[in-house]
Amino acid sequence: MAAKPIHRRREMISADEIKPQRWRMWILPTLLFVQSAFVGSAFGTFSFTMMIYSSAAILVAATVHFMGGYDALTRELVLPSNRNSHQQNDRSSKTTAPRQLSKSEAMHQRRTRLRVIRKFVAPILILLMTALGVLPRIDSHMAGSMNFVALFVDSLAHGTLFVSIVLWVLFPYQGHPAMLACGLIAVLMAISGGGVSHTINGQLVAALTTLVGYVIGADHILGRWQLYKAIRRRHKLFTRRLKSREQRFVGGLNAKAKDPLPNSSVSLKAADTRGPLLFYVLAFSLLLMSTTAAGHFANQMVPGLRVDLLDRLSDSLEKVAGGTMIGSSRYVRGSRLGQIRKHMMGDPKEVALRAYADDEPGYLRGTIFDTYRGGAWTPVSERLMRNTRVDADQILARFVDPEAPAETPLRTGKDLKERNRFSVRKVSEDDVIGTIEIHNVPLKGQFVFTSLATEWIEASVYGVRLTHHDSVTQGVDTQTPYVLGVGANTPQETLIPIRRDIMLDVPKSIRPLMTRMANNICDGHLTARAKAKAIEQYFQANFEYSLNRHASPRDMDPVAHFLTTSHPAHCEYFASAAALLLRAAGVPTRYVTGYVLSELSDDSAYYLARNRDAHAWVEAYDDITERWFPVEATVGRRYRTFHDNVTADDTANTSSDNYLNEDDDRSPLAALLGWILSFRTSDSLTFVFQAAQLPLFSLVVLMLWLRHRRRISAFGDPLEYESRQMLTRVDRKIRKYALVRAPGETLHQFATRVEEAATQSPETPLLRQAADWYRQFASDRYQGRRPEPLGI
Amino acid sequence: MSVDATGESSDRTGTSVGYSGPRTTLSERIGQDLNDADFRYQLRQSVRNTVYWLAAPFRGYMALRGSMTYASVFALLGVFMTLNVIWGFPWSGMMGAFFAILFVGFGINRIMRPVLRLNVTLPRVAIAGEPFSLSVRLTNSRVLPAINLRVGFQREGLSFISRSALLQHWDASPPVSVQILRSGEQMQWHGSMRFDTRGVHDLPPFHLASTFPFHLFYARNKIECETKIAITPVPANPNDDPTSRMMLAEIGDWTQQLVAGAPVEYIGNREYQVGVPVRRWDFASWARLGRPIVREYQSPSIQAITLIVDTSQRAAAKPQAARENAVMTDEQRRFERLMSIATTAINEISNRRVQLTLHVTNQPDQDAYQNIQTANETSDSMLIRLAAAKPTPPAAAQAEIVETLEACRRRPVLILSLIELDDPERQELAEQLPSSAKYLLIEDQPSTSSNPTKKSHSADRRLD
Repeated sequence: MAAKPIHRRREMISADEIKPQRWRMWILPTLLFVQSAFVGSAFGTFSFTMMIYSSAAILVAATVHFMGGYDALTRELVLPSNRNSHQQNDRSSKTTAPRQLSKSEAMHQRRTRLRVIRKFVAPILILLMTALGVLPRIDSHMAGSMNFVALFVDSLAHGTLFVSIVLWVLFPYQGHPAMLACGLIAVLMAISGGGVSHTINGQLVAALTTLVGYVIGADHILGRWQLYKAIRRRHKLFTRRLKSREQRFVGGLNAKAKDPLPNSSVSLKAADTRGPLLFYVLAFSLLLMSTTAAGHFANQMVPGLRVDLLDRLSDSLEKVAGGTMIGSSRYVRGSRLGQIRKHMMGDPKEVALRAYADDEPGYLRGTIFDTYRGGAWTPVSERLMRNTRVDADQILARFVDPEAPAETPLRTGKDLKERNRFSVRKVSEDDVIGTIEIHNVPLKGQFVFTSLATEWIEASVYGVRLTHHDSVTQGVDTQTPYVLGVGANTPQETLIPIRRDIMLDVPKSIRPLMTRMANNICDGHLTARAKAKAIEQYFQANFEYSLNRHASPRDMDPVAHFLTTSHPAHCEYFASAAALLLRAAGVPTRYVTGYVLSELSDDSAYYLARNRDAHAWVEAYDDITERWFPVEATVGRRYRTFHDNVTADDTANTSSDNYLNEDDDRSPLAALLGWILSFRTSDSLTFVFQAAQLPLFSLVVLMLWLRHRRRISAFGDPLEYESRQMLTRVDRKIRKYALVRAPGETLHQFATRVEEAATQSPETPLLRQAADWYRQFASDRYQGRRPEPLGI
Repeated sequence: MSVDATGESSDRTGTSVGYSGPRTTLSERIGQDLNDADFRYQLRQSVRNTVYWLAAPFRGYMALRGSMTYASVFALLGVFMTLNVIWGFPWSGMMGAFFAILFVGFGINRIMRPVLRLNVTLPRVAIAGEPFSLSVRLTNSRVLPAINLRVGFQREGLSFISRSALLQHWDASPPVSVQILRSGEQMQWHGSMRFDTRGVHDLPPFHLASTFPFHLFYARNKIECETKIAITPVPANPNDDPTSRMMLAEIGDWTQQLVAGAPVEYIGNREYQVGVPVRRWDFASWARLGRPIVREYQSPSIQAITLIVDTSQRAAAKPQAARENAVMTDEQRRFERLMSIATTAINEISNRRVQLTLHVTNQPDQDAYQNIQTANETSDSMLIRLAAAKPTPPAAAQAEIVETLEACRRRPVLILSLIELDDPERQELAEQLPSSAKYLLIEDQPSTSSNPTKKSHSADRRLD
């Protein structure tokens, strides 16, 4: 396309336009619709949120209709001084059109009323609507089992959504900046309430969609806000200034000084009359790409940081929050002695886990701890050991890739997500005797519960990370159910020295006591299993179980105090004491917390664990068999785990076969339809956001560059353009020698200056050559010839 | 104080961006050992650079703080909120989005910040309190376009209404939005401006603010206009108050007498020719002779009047006080009244086609009473001089007046002053005041006058 000749360039005069644009009227309704739908679907209140949204939409439509359209509403809001002129107009047209007058007057009165409502009633209205949003949610939570985190998240999401809707009703066209904040909170809450999957793709799609909505909303709301607010503030400022201005004039303010100044305008001589759309697209594309990158980065970094931070902080934080109701509504980690007790007592009946299995799943491990210090257990990570051990990297967390697609169909719910199988053990044994399908409560935190004998896990995965104990810390989407393949035997592995040292560690302060007691108890027992048995029996015989709190003296270790006084205690004390005694007796042990699933649901469909089923126990290493085995030292308890059930495995195989057969029977069209239907919204969005980002970015950059080139070349003939480029290149070279062409300097003058510099410079040939080139260039250009480039 | 003769400023670049060339030339660099001056210069430069880089984080923080909009503030809060990912909240994607908004948004905003060259066109003089129109030509010399701009003299933002905004002595048309100004293109801002106080004022800086992209951040830029404008006093109006009416009437009468006082002499009749000034047709002779005849009169010799504005004031207030303090003192008010009446006098006398020479006592100007420049001095430039007038001590002013009176011995002189002639500080002047001079005391306004009996007292002191 040829560039526009100069004489045909248009001069555009623009001034601030407060008149609403038609397409912008749809921005807020659309964004709020999406937000309502998202919050509704995340919390299962779709019909409720949609009903509120539709009522608000009807209200907005009615308001706009009865107030004389968006235009009049905006004008009224922006220019309160317009009223006078409006009234004057009314007065002048009184005789001619009395009916029209009354109508416009009535409308004006209505608008004034709306303004009053907005000013005084808005806070009350917002409070009322928030209450309307929050109270039903609280009610529904009170009716079921109470989870305070879920209650808070749910109410906050609905509350903020309804505040946004009220603000929309009050400011139908331009909105209010608070809507941005409300929108963000609502989305964050909906995401944490299970609105999207926890996989990186689900996260990114949510983030990118939010980003799109946010930037569109921000651009619209803040753009209008900037303009309208500026006009209103200006009116206010002008009125307030009149008083201070008046005394500056000896004869008082005259009419000219009293009037407000007229609005300014801008005239623009532009060859290109298109708007800045391309730049917007470019900026948008950059934001999208950086969001994706930052999201991936955060996803990579966060688990590592989480392990570190949790290890350091969670002790103290859990100490604070452990006993509160909020503490019991999350999964328990139990690093500090007493936390599990608090968790069990906080809300004993709340359901924590559900599991579908053919047999009782028994003890499921949540967190595994390594070292004990002063009443608290901590897992050891490579970072903590780096300074003391050279072989610290042997306990680095490992990442595993999925090996195969999942084979076990889910027993309940739709199997929408793509699930994969990955092996958990270092040395895998193909001895799976059954499966356990576990359903977490997502709001209680991201914990993956496994049985000690877990062989593999089938789950929706994204970069699985396993600790040196083979427990999963990252990469399994706990939003969706996951299936454990439980083996017949506990895992077998050779314990490397560093791990052995970690798991034999007993704090110095209590080591003598532990060694003495261990020697007493384990006297005559040689193997690890025998020692463990002896210790179990020792506790069963000499101790009592109690959930009562028993304070230990400040200067004494709680476990040591427990062992010396034999006071009644709960599982944490028994497990810790057993672990330390076994360590003192030379058996590597680890302290494990989790839940015991033994309760069958009312309809006998699944097993469930409640908060009161939280438990702590010990896993010890048998050097002879090179296998881990559980140690249950708590009085009155017995370790239970999943037992053989071959039939379950068989049924699983059969059903998957059936499924495959059914798939084969379908026609290609049906298969295609199925594929299209299975191509979910998040997939397509992922594709658009991830795959289309770079091409989009490149395309926009290319278009901008082409336009830039065309514009430059449009200012003259190609010869002119080339010559200028040539000159710029040589100028840039010469600039390195501190020689810059002054604006008023001719090429010949500059050439002389360059020559002078050349006499003092070691780079004489180049400068001389450049000086000659400048002269030649000037001469060529004068004669209209094409100059030769500087041949260096 | 000088005013740009054309009233136009030259090109100014907004900020020091872009390559300005190295400071040393080649000849200085090569073949010379570093002497002390060089060393000191380099040391200073390196210290300056170090400080520059050390202060960079602080500057970055301040820039971020000053340029945040609601959108970025919410994003920042969002970052804090999403830090809860460490407790297992599934917000790592959202965290990425917030980081992108904050860092990439800020980066884009800084890269695309508007840097424009500015050129102001405005009148030389304007009357205090009256709007005058001006246009500002803005050129985008960067490679990148300036997008989503607000341009104008007023600064917009959160701290819009402040005490300084309430007390500022100027007002301008509100800023206007511009979608895009492409690289190398020009635009022109048209608007009005109004200054409330007399004086030669610097034009306030011109503000540019870009909210690209998506109103996430502000990039504000302030360009100094480096142009001055003379704001002349508001002419006194006879309707303002009785005293000013009286004084203006006196000035009018005195001028009228000077102009009309000389006899208009009849010279004779002559036949009309093209180009002959037609003062009065002699219809009788025309009828008698049948040719158009005009009567010729001798015009009154054009009188040259000298106006001396005696700016002496005993309690000379600081010149900036009127701007800084919200309330004007009585002295300032009296002085401004003198200026207003002087302005009316200049207008009055100029309108009667009488050549006027202005002398302001705080501006000793050799040319003024040697009649060299004054013959051509326009009323505009006289008003500019009034705009720049400042109070002077009475003794110095008296010496000035006496000197001026000597220079124009026989010419009529009108002296406007705030000090009475029988004051001890005007004794010398009272003795030497020629008959052709009129000394007019500027009375207080009735409302502010401390002595109401003075109102009836005649201001005219014509001495023999």
